[in-house]
Amino acid sequence: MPRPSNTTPSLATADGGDVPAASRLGPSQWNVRKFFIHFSMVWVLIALTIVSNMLYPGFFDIGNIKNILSQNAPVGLVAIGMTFVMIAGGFDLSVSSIFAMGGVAFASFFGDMPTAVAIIAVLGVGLVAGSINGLIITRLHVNPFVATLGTASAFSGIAYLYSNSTPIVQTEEAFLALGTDSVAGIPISVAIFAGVFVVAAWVLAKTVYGRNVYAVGGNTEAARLAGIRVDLIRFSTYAITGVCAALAGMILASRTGVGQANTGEMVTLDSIAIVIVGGTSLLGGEGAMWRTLVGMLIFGTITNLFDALALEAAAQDLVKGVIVIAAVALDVYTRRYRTT
Amino acid sequence: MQHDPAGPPLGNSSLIAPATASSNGSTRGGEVVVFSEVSKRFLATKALQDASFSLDGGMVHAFVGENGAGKSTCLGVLAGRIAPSSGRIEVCGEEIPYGDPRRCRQAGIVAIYQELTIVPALSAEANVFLGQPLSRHGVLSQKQMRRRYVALCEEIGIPPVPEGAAAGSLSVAEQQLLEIMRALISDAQVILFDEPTASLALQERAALLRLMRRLRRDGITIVFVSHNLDEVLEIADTITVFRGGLVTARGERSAWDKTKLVKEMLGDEAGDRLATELLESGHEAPKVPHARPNADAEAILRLEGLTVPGAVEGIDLELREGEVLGLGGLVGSGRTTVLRALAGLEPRARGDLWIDGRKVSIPRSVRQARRLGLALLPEDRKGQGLVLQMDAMNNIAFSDLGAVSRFGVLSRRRMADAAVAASSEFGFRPERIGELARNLSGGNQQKLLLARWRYCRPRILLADEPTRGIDIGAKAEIMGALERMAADGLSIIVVSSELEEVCALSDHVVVLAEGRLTGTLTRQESHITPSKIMSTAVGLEEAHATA
Repeated sequence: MPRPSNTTPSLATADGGDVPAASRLGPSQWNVRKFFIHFSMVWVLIALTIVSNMLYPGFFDIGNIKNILSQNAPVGLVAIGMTFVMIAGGFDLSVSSIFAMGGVAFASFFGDMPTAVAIIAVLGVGLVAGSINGLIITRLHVNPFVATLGTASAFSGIAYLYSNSTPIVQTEEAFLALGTDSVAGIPISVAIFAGVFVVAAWVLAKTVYGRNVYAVGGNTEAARLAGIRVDLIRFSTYAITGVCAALAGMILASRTGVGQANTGEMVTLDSIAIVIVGGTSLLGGEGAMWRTLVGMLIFGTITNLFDALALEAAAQDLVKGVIVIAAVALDVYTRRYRTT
Repeated sequence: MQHDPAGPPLGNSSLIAPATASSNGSTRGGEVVVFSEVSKRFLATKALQDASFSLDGGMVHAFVGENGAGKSTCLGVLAGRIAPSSGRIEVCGEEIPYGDPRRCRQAGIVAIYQELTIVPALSAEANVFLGQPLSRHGVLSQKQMRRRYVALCEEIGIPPVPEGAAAGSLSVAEQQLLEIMRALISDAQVILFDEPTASLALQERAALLRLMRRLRRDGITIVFVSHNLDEVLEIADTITVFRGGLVTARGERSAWDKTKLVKEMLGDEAGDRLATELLESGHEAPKVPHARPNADAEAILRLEGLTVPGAVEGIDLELREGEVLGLGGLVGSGRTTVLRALAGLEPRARGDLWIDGRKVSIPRSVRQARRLGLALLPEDRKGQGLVLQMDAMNNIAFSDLGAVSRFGVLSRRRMADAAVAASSEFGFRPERIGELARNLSGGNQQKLLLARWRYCRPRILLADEPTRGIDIGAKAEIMGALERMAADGLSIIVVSSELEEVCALSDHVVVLAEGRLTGTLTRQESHITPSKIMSTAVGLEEAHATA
């Protein structure tokens, strides 16, 4: 077995291919067309940044890039969790509620305990919420869509009840640090996102756990017959997502200095859109973490451009919606192309 | 038994109540269906060759033969599901629309397959009138449909199901009746049944046979495919035997008995020995197959009184190291259920199981089964075996990723090496190890599944239809591989509808029929042949059974 040569660009090597390892065995399997389709969303992103830079010459400034990243770090974190869930063939509509719970909990816990303990407690809240999703889906066999639709409402209710429907304002430096401070010129929120991204990408592409996630999403029955603990894997993806969502909610609360139950309503849709636009399949079993990064950057670039040009937010929503549909249609098209 | 073609035309029209006055009577007697040199090729295989025969109206015609003999192809061509490669079929003097089931249905030919087309959430009458509902000005006439349904039930002599019951809650037999009724209200002249009784219980079978007689009396032509020879002999007016894509014999019911049928289905004894030999030489198996396991050695697996409610009852098995045990019997005899129970997939299974002489409980999950050393090679490769969007090596390795990882981190090189090592034994080309499973042929996909169990080495392999749907060359490779694995000490329980393969591989064959054990054949005592398995399965000669 010769050591496979690596012909794909650096993006892919960061964390493995779409379908685990398939595409990197030999150059013979690659041709221009496949290469083009495989990275289609990367080309879209590159084109977008070039257009943005033409319309708005400050686009590539360090400050602007930092801005894009720190603005999108919270939703990006949620999308990382969502990538696990969706590759395992699931779906999670409750992330925005867990996101809100994370923000409320952080603002509330902050005064009562040391900052480090508060952070861990908030992550614990996310873990519990995600685990509840996972248990409902794997133990009660409720369809993920319905299960998380239900918990979305329930978790949101908890956030409102806990906060008495009032914003919990925190003005201390330590509370704001997570969302607003920088270390060595890098915003802490961006550093956290980058760290979580690298670990998640590595876990998904390189570990036994990650490979099992693909197997469960690709063919649940085959995975079960091969002896994979299917329910445990599915459960864990929801737990991971819960933690990610709570972390993201905490970062947003820290950035705005307030924890309130009505934040993050768009997080569910945005995070799912990011995963899909990146090219991870809705059907499970296919996708990659780098695709989620690309999806996040595409959305971040659009938002940034629209803000810079002072276009209406409503126009952004319109364009985002069109992009999501176009991305899925493209996926379906290339899928058909692949099979025939 | 013989049908009188001059009988009075009975109430076909009364069954078919709507305005479409039926053309009954015209189908009575005479040649209703005429096949002229109909052939069907699937790539290189000739599924059906120059079939020429005619079927008389108002009779029950049975098609029998082994799996793959061409009988189902013949039925499919007539139903418009399969377009013939050449030839001509006429029904009532008109050529049928080939490959168009919808138009064949309109022409009065309705096929009822094993996979029923019932909409589970709808009521019984809604299913009967599916696609042709009674309505007035676009509004469904629910009451009228119910009345017509009840009347139809009375006419064919079955009790109507309670009003409002969802079809999905009915038994398979009741659902099948709904399909038959759907055929009747659509003015069907020819009804085709594919294994109509395979999934029915005994009383339900009797009821279905009664109904078929009744339909025959009403002038409807019935063609049915069945493995159950008793049934065929009980109801058919004519029997057509298929073998290897050819119609080898045709005759009136009175010309047949069970022995003759079995002989005709398998070819004569000489031919059947030849087939076995060809098969063995094809994959270079030693003439006296792999070293006989020591008969006195302790059984690696002993199973007593395996019962899965509704499927199998009181099955006893014994398997020694390196031994191949075949489960013989017809489709639906419970062979697959036995394998699934051992693989941990039948939670309702009861019975006593010993592994290495140690009493263990019957596994309740795949993981428990794996811990006992039992691994299943599933029948449905794509549905239950492979992750199609993964590459070959991952499909091989994912049954035990721990072996190619360290502290949970995968090593690509070790995975590729292990996968190549495991799969090359089955003739899988190493350079294809990175290809997606969905891009591989059936044979190569099966090699991947075998390689998966080569890679993580269970002690007992449960192989369900290991050669189904793959070409001859790959078949031979897989057969050879199974023999080598057995010679290597792996114990195998194999289920296959290809009886020649079961014979060629197995040291013992346990024969099942209707969920019960009907006999055991042992190679040491005599050569195992397909006809012996078939005879034991249909209870023809108890003498073969040597428990």
